[in-house]
Amino acid sequence: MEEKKQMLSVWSWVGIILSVYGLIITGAGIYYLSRPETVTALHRLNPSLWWGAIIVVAGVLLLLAGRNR
Amino acid sequence: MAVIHLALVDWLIVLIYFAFIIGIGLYLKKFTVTGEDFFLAGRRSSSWMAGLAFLSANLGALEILGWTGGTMKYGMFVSHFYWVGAIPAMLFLGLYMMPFYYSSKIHSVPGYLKLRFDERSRLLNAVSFAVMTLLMSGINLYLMALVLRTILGWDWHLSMWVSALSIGVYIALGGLLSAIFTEIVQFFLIWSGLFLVAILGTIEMGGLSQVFAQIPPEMARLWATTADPSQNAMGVTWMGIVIGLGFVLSFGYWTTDFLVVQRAFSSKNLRAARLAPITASFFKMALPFIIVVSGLVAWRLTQMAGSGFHLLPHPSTGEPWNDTAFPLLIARYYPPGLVGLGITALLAGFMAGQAGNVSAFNTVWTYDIYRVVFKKDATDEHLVWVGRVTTIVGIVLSVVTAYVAMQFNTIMDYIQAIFSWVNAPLFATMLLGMFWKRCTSTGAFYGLLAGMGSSFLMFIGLKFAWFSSYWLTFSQNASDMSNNLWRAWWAWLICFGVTILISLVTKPKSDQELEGLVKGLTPNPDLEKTPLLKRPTFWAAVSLVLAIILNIYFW
Repeated sequence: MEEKKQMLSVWSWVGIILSVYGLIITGAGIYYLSRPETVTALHRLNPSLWWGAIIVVAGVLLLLAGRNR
Repeated sequence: MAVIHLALVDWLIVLIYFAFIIGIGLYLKKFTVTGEDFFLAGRRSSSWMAGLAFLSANLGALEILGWTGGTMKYGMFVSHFYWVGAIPAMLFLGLYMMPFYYSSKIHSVPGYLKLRFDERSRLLNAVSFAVMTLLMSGINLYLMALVLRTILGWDWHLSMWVSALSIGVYIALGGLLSAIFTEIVQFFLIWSGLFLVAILGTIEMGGLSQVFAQIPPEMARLWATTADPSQNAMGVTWMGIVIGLGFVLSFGYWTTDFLVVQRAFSSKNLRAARLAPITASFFKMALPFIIVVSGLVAWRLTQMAGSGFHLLPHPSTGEPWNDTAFPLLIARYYPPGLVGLGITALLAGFMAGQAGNVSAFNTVWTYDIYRVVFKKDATDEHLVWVGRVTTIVGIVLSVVTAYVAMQFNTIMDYIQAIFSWVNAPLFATMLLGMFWKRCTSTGAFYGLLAGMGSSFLMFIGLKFAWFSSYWLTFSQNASDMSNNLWRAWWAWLICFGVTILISLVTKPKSDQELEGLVKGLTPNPDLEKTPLLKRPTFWAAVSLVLAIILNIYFW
């Protein structure tokens, strides 16, 4: 798919959006750590922090996969 | 009464998604020049690309919401729609049917009917598919707006028009290529945005074993309660599941519905095309770990005093609306930021499903109706122009259908039944066409007509109680689901029988005309020497074994 006219690989596109989303969610997780009014079930687990980080890692891996194509 | 209120960061995530998909469309326009680029994504997709797009075209948000709600009613039985109702058919498509589809270099499924039979079968299927796709597209749009209004309090008209126009723009710009790119983005958004709901739900319940320990046996097992339909919530026997769902409905949808099969047609070679549905099968198999687990968690929460988890009432009936379970779980577990991702994943699911409908519709309209009926000598450039215009027209017609559905709610029952009017008999025609060279064009046409007509009559007959459903299902307490499964089986059988009978008394095509279209007259791709890890048969076997293990584990 990527060869013709040097098209940006689909994996790069996915990597970009996941990295951006991961960073935003991790940032939101840090921001809301100090705000007890945003209580959800299991908020003590801070899901935004670790799930956001996992999404960033997935995004970066996909960016690398896209670059190698 | 909205249950989820978006914070600023959530809005930012939603807006980034809209900007991103329009950006993809604008970027891909310069790579979309010829008809092959626009309608078949240039036939350059790898098996991974085609496979993920194949899966995502089917995986709309309505499936996620509907089956999570369905799990609250049917329990683990919903997994049958994945492990029995999808995997075998996807593997069969990849191994046995794709060589005929791909090698004949067609643009669409009706295109195969033209080559194998004649123009009559092509037109019958093209018109019924185009109508079905447009109606389904409108219904999806309506249901999307309904969910967004109920959950987020968004305005009906605004959410319908904004999402419809966004889809129209990026498909008109980049054609199937745009659709495939955004479907792959959607695949990753669904897993990153929704899987966490199942994980957090399981943690709250104390682990997966605890989830299963707390639900009644008729909801917890796959097969153990299927000997007697009164013992399970779906009111269906194992035979109904195997032949109605596992064979006819599933094979009818996965092997002949152009919306999904089109993605495999975009593959760069036959091996990639065969691997596309096989690759997709692994991810399809994993989806119950989002959908069914979330549904079981939601069911358990409704039973727990003091959980604070209450389903919203349905806007029409006022009854608890199971389809709101998933968004309510998002509201329960997700803090700001993650809420935006979850809602974006659902929106992406809605829109990718719509994009699938529109890209399949514009191809079938352009190649199988417009070029056949209106302009036989159309140039490639003209067809691309028609494809772009058709995309916009298709989107507008979908919005019109959505407004009709909004006014006349009962019309949805009819439209949702269209799948089994069209796909179940078509599978019989395809099966005979690909594997029996004696099957004739006249037999195929009248068989298809008889199958579609009988399915419609059975639907109407049950709807207006002309006869008891016992005569179709052999069960006194058959559910609507059970009726659907059995109706599909009878429609398939009628099409199969009529096609064979008429074929035996009419003249078949010569072997020369059928080369590359029928088994026995097409080179067997499995005879080529390929390393084990690159063979479609190897990965299909792995997928099948995994599906069998899951069925046995949850027996």
